[in-house]
Amino acid sequence: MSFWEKSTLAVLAGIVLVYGWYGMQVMALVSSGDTDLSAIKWLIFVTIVALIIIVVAAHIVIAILEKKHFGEIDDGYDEREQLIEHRSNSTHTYTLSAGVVITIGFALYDASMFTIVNMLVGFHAVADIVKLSAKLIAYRRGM
Amino acid sequence: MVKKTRITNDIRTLRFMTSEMTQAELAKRVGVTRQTVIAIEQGRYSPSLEVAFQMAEVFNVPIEEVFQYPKENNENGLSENS
Repeated sequence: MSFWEKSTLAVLAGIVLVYGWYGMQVMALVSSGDTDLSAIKWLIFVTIVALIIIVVAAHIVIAILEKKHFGEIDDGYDEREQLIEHRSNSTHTYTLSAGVVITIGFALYDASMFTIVNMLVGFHAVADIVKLSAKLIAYRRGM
Repeated sequence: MVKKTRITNDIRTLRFMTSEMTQAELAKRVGVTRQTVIAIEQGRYSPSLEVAFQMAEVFNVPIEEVFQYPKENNENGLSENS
């Protein structure tokens, strides 16, 4: 497994973990009837900070584990990596665009700001998960 | 399930015939990662023309000895271009 593949796996795990936690917190707020936008401001902040910390920590661990192979040919970013990145970015764009269109639809039918914000956060997470999964599939299955 | 490309290659054989060159050594000489050489060898990735020509240059053979593009047979068993 190359450095980039491990990196993708680490970021995917981080996103699933952090946004999973975010989703559970939002569900708890909804079930308690607290759907005020101010209630999720801190939640979004904590989610972003937690994601950054987890991703950075995971990369430090990967770098330590890969220390003896540092500078070897598998650390490079070649044409195959670029192609995989471009294709997965394309998948990300389509997923996110679909999410934005659906959210606009909800907004036009008087959805609350709480719903709209959480839909956008949700689609953002889904788009990232789809992108990173597409990358991992491309690494394993080929193109 | 591995998604194979239509392009086939004889890189493994050519590596063996070129002083049993390792995948890492070939990768270094061509300027790609070892993972990419593995993917090309296994038919999971079609390289760019530049990389394909560089590989042929490393093995000192014409490009068609490294990569092949077999003709696809139609329902009658005839090749598309015949």
